[in-house]
Amino acid sequence: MKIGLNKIYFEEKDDIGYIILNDPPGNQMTSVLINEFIDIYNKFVLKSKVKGIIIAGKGRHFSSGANVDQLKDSIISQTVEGSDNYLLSYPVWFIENRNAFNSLVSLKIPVIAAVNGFCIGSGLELALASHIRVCGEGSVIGFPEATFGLLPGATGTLRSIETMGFGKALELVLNGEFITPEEGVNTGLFHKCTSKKATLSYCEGLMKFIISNVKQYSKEDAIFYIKEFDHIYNS
Amino acid sequence: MSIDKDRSDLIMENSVAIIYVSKISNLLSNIKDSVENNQIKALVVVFDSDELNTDEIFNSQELDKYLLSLPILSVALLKNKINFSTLELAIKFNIRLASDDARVNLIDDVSKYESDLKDEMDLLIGKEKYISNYSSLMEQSANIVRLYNIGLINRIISSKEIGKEIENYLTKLLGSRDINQINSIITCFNTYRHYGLNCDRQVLLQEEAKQFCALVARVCKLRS
Repeated sequence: MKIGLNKIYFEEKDDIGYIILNDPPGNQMTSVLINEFIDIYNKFVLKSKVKGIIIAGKGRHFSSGANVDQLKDSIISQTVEGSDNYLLSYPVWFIENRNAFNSLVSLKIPVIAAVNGFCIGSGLELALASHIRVCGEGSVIGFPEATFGLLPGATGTLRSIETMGFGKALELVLNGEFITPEEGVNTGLFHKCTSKKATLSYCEGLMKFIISNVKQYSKEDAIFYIKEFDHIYNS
Repeated sequence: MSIDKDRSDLIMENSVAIIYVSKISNLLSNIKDSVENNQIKALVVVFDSDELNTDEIFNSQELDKYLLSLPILSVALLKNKINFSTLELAIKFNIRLASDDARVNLIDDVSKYESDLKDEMDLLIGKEKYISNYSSLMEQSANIVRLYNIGLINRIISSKEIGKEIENYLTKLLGSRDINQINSIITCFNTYRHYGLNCDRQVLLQEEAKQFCALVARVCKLRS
């Protein structure tokens, strides 16, 4: 089964569900793509019988993040501020986006992000919502939000603390610089770096290994699954 | 940037306040005033005492409460000897820097902290690194490099050029960031520290969303 919207599609192949960001080259997180992601996630992914989910971007990049001007316009037109800059409400889509990313983290089936090229801003937030994160050599990773006056706003700050630890996460968010895949793996943001061409096939192999061999999946055991799979994969 | 102790108890330079841990309880009210007046973006506290008695100097819970209320970057600079008392205070800060000649001796009090260690370490090191036995990290062979590798220390800096290295580090980290932006980011991170990672995720993420939307509103207001 394949459910295709304008900028994203969800495809079931055997036991694996693929969420593919389909707006190359950058797979930018425009308001259309975010709304379609929320739609496809709530209406199809959550109801699917697949045993694992792989998230990837069509083309060279995972995602180059949000369209900042569009994001600002959308937030500002729907945010209500009270006295002393106290925030009374913020946009519904923004909450739904956060809830969808947060829900991915809590899924009981494996969720793997197959990352290549740019994976920045809200693109990185989506990757971080996955339980297992694999990136290809040469990937560009980071939260540039700080460089244009913002901070990550869709679960990125919390997920970066959970994966890298408080101090390292704060550095990543504050300085807004990009890091290499090797730094990503060393800090815990990613689990594995593969060759650029092998990223998706590695993730598919790992997913099939988990589905076939793990009786009770737990995302806490992600690094053990990778170790076991690598042992087989490399021998 | 000078961190010369003899120069002054409180050094204010380039939007950064620097104080020595031995003077901390007397100076924190001055710092708060400067924060409220948007004069500083970061507070650096220098831990240079060989023997640090936390009860006499400052209660760690009081310090924790104070730092959590501070919407600016808090940095602990660890020099000389790092024992558990030092570490107990230092982990309350957002960032920890250590000079390359600092000596680590954590073994003495490890049993005292073992039960409290997990939640704090999950936050500092990363919950998803799934380190089950934190006390083993504090074994006799622990040194600065080990603390850096596990993520307890953010950076090891040269003892010969401490002032310059801190200045470079803070410039790289904070750059030309607006004080409101720093306040928002630190408030968000401190909220996570306050509630801990075992708190309901929706409650934690509420803070991120709040700070994000408030910043967008502020940026757009400034532009218009």
